[in-house]
Amino acid sequence: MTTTATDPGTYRTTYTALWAIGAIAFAGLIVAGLPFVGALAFFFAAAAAIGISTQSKTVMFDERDEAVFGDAGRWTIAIVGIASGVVFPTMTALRALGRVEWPLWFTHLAYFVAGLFAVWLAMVLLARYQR
Amino acid sequence: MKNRLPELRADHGESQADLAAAVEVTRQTINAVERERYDPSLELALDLADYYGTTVEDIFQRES
Repeated sequence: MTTTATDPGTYRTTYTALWAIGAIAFAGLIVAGLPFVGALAFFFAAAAAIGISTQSKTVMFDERDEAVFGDAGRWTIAIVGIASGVVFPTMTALRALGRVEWPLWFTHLAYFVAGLFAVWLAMVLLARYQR
Repeated sequence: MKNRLPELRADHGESQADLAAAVEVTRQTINAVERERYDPSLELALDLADYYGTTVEDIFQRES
């Protein structure tokens, strides 16, 4: 089976690859000490990906993709929720007993998880309101 | 959910890509439906039934 430049699969692959390349370039150039160039690279890749999605006359993503993304999101929230429900109380208890240090990055991670669940709760309320 | 999609598609001499384009989904979705790995939305099921000029119940059956 051959593919052509107008195959929906080609558009999907190119679109996904552009986002991945943009993200990798962003992270890589920050590490390399070129954050501004990294941000530019990400913006260019993102613009190219969005351009492809708007120019494509074929269906790139459909209801099955939405279902896949929905499942992935649910599982991610479940894993993060379960992990944080075990890890953070355990670390807090051990810290209170003086058994572990509480590094600064862990505080940042805790704030990030709290923020993530605040956003999730807001999205739950919005979804319920819409139905 | 069991379905007659491969049979209907073969009767019409169409590829998965042809059917996907006709009902505006990806070929991968048609493939997943035919392999019973994905249950389509009601809207897609109705689109498929309309496309083949039949009913949803004629194409899709519950697993017994």
